[in-house]
Amino acid sequence: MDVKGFSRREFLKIGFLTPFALQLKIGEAFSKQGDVYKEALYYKVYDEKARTVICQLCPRGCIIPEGELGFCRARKNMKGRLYSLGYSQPCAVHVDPIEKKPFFNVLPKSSSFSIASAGCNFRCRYCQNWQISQVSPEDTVNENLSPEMIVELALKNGCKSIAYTYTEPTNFFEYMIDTAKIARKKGILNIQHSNGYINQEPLKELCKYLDAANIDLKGFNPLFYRKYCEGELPPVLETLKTLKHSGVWVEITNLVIGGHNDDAQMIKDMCQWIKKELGIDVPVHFSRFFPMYKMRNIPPTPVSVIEKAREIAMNIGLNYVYTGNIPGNPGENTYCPNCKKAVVKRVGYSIMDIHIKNGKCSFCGKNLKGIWNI
Amino acid sequence: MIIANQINFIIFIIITGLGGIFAQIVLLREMLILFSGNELSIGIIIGSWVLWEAIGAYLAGKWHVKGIKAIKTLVFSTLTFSCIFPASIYVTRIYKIIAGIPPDTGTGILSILSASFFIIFPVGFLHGMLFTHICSFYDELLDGHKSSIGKVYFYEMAGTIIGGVLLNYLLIKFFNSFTIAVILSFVNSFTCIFFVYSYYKGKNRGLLTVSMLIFFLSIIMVSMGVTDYFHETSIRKQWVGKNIVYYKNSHYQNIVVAQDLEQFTFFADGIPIITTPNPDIVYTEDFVHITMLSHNEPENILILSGGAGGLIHEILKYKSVKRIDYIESDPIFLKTIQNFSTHVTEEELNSPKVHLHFIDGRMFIKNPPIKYHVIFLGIPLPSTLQTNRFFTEEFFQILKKALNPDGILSFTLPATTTYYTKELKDVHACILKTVESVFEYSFICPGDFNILIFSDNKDLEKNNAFTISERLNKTAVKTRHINAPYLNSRLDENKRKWYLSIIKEVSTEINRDFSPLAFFSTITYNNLIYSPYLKGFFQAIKGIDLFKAMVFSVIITLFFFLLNLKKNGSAIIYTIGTTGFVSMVSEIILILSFQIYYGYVFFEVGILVTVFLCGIALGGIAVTTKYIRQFNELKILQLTEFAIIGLVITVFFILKFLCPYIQSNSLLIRSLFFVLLFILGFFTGVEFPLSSRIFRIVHGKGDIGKTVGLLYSVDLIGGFIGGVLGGLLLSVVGILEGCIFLAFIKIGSLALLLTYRNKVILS
Repeated sequence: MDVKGFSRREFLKIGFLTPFALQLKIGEAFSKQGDVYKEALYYKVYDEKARTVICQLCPRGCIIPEGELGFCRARKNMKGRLYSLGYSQPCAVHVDPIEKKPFFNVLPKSSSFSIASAGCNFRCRYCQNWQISQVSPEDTVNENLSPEMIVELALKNGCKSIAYTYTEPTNFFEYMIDTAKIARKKGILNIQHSNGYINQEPLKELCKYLDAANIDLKGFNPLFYRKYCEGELPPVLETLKTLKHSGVWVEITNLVIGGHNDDAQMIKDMCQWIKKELGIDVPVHFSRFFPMYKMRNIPPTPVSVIEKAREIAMNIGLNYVYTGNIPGNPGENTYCPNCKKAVVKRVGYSIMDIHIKNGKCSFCGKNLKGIWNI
Repeated sequence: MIIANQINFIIFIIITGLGGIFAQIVLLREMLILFSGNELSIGIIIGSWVLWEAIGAYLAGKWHVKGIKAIKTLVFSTLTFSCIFPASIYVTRIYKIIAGIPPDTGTGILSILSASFFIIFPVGFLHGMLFTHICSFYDELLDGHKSSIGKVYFYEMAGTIIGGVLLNYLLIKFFNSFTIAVILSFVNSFTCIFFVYSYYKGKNRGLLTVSMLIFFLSIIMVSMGVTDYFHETSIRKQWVGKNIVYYKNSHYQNIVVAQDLEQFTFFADGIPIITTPNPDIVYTEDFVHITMLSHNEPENILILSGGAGGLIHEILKYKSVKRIDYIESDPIFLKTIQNFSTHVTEEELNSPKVHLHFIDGRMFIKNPPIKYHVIFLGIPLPSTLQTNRFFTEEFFQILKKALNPDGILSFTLPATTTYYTKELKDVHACILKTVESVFEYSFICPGDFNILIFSDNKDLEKNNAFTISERLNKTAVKTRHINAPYLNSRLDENKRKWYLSIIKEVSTEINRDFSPLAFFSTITYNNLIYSPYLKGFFQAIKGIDLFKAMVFSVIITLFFFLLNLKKNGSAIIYTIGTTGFVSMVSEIILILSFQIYYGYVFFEVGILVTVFLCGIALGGIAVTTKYIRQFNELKILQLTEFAIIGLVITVFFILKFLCPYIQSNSLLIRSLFFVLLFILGFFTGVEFPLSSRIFRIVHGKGDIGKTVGLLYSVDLIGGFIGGVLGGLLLSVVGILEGCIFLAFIKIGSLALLLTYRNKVILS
């Protein structure tokens, strides 16, 4: 028997299909609500028909098919648009001493609100944070923290800076830059620890908000970069120059691995390049390597190699040269380039003594390069 | 003449067995250095050998040769084996160069698999082929007598036992791997000369010439130091970029010392263990001082492994310390440290307060000379079933008894200050839950590595940065990096809360001697580094329990039951394959259980394995005796299956009910392990020749090579699966439950045999 106004078939059809239709609507609503992915900057359509995109954030220039991730595993092509998976999805959120980043000439003894989303555009075989750098934000358990919330938390925790660190911050570029804009307005410094593997255009954009950067100069040898990091050296050198010319405070970290990038001539060449292109006031940290990640089969670097590297750098004329991962070594201190006295005494990340007043050496009054106050 | 020929050939068989075990053990040890071996890589390497032997045995069955051709094949294969074996050692050492893997980089499971397959293929394959050809030839020699296969099995096993004992207790101590391989070439070629001469009477000059060439070449290579030259050259390639000043194989491990300027690094099986004179200062000082300062007056200290190279040096700074007992199982490792001493290790190992003990740590702690104020557990994560023994509830209970009432236990776990993966959380949660089930109070210091301190003394809970700093000032101990500001950061309460909040949410079980969950968690975590693509595989294994395992075995049994209806003899194949699997896993269970109760002592474990092999040999020969031959083969096989089931169930009852309640020093229990392994080996040895005879009857008295090839390969494949997966399965299912599972598998194969209806066999 037909329902009035409908045939039986029509009635069944509507009755059957309506719940599905409703579900779809509800599903769509949830999907939209749950869709936290931020569309990425610095990409363009590569093949409109195939919905392939090309990412232009870093020199890799990944051509990403639909549904796939870029090399960094943090940017995904969804229906022909590129999205940043790590936006507002940090997997690591901590308060660290700024010396840990390491920044030795920036706000000593202050705390830095440190964040990271998963992913990296390198594949360093000795990565300390491999558990989050070598996976995608889709694989990690993440917090849900908007840029505003990050800044708020930084203020709440009494942090003078926000550090984009642990993994490679380039892969959460959009998150970093949005947070940096807000932080700048609130008077919080923006600092990052990066591999420097980023294209010039986004880098220049970032430099507008970045106050300090510690760049890993992994080895002054293109072969080392290719073999042990799956990266390239020249773009990193360009990044260093751009940062310097943009007025960003730059510090450099060189993790010295015995038998791999500890060649004295290589270190000399590196220091000479730094002196020529960046100036003698760029701090350089020579860190002692310990077995890590996939490189667990080699010994730690001898302390004398680190000390020798520091000696080479100072002989070339660099003013601020530090040793890392050798607690108690005199190379951890900051010395006045003029009177040679220790203006900041450190043991590891702990500051034992500071003799700096208004950015000047308390002993001889020499201007010391760095960011000593906000 | 015939008897003389037979004797010659028996010697040939024995030497073949000897050669097989030489190659297996030497290549295993070399590959452990290559892959920084853990339980999984050991299983894969042994499994690869077994698999290639199986393939070689099977294919040899297809290419069966007779008469003079057989002699040529045997001699040619043996001489080829003699040449390939030393070459395989060289290839192992330079494998990373060949494969394009950076020498300083670890490798994932797929790399280990492919390397094992590639390196072991020639020697394993040849050896498997040899066995099949030997069986065929001996069968010919005995005119097809029933006992031929059993006798070959026996002689080959005898050679394996002799070779194992010679190698492990004598040769490894004095010779490098190349010299051992060339000594084998010498023995092989010598045997071939006599073999060829006795059968050809000098007429086959070709074979004789080649044999003599290799014979004299071997002598020259050893006496002129050519093997030493290859040894040193290959080490330089393997350890490229490092200045190797010392290289030695102890019974327990390979020890290498590399020097770089003022620094010595001591490697064990390819992993850097100790660096002097500048160790990882943060690790050494944090571990020692945070621990020592957690106790009021630490006088008696026990260090279970990892003491030399910095730990003892820091402990000696405390004036309150009166005695340090330092335990290491490998005396050669410590002796090596003494030979390459620096001011740090000299002080450590020559201090009158320090007492060195070369014994398994678990054995020492059962009867300690004194009670301790502080125990440092310096053993790394449990990546083997053997090291899992030091992270179990039972072990922590023993440790507790060795402590004073206010004593503390301290150990470290690899950690992170940024992000804990699920796998790392599992490791921490399991170990933390285990130790907290024994000790009432804890003091946990999260960092790049966590320091975990436990005690039954309530005062431990009062520990914080302030109390530790105060004690540091009071003791006036000089440290390089530990100071008040550092301690404030390191012992930050917020860090501890963060760590505990993420670990406590993990649901886990306690790690026990017979439920080695921490081992499985560690393997899963380590796998993330090199083979993250196998994450799913490990998750699947984790989901296995006894019920699922039993269901799986029922399905496989049913499959073979149906197959047997179509292909007569499938029941026999299933029986032999499952016996290979069960005997391998049972061996693991018994040896591990022995280690749990009596510690890892190289000599004893060696004897256990030898006893098992003796059992196999005697089982094989027992089947050939007139007494056994009078009975129906199928009925004996069924009885043997029944006996294996009984044995496995007996093992279950002994481990579950007897061992925990009898003094572990009891000679009765100790002997029981040897007896059980012998019986297990015996029944395993009985089954192979018996199954071969039955299979031949079923398929007509055809080609023995085909029968032997097929069944030997199935036996080995069963062993391969047991070797590779056995450890993993036992860790998720549990060792006692594993016994039940093994019994269940054998019940399945027995049921299959009982339903086997073949009039020819039953008559």
